Amino acid sequence: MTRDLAHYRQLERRLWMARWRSEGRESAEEDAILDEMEDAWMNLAEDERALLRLEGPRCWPTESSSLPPQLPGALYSSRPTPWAYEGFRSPAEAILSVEAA
Amino acid sequence: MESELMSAAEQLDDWFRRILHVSDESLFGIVPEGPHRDAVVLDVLKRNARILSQSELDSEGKLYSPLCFFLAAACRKLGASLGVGHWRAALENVVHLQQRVASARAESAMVGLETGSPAVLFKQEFDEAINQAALAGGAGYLDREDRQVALGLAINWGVRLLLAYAAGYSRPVNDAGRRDLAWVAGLMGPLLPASSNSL
Repeated sequence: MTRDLAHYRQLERRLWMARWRSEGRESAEEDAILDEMEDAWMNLAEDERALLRLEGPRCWPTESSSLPPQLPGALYSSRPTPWAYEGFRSPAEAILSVEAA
Repeated sequence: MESELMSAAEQLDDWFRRILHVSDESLFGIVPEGPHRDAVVLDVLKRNARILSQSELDSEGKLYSPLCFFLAAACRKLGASLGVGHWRAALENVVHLQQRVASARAESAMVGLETGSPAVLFKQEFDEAINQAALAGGAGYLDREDRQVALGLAINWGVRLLLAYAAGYSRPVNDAGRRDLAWVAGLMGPLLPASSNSL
């Protein structure tokens, strides 16, 4: 997968998420992503465009016939990042910070 | 059919608000808002994802609570809310799939294939999404943004799984005031083809 196609796929996933969050209704976030996708489309090779055209609609979470977004395969992903307790460092630190307050 | 779908979606939306409220009060509310609350939400999310991915579908409603707690925790983790539009789309999806599976059943039997009920098909998609989101215990390879998409997908499939699962639940409504799995099943009943069997 080329970098340009990977970027387009990422934008597809953002689009799906934006539409899903707004129950399929139009939103400013969706418009911004669509603009970015239009630019990204211009950078794609013809065979990549042909592939995307063949797939049909992918980003309509409220359409039962629409495919879900394609998540990246392991080969193309960045380094693994586990789920974290965000903002939560450790029980000991939490106790110390309460005591300090 | 259109007005029936919309009415059912509105009732499900109201019902899920209660699920969120109960989850907030009973599960997440054991610690104050902040990082500790977020940690509890993540624990609930992972625990119920694991329970669901390790469980087989049944017709006794055993997956109802874990599925509801998963959906509540996942919505909270993503900062997302489910609205009438989500329920309306999910209902339509489940009803269409029930119809397609019912019409394909005879043909698939002729070639010796068991494709599974809508609940089975949605469970497969749901399991895949929670695996990709690294919630069921395996190693994750997605970055933060894509993990959130996977979690959004898990909610999306989870809502459909819940409805299809309810369609296969056969116990009658015992208390007219209760809004449990039997109530969801009662809501689904009139929308589904008469010959459908969800499990």
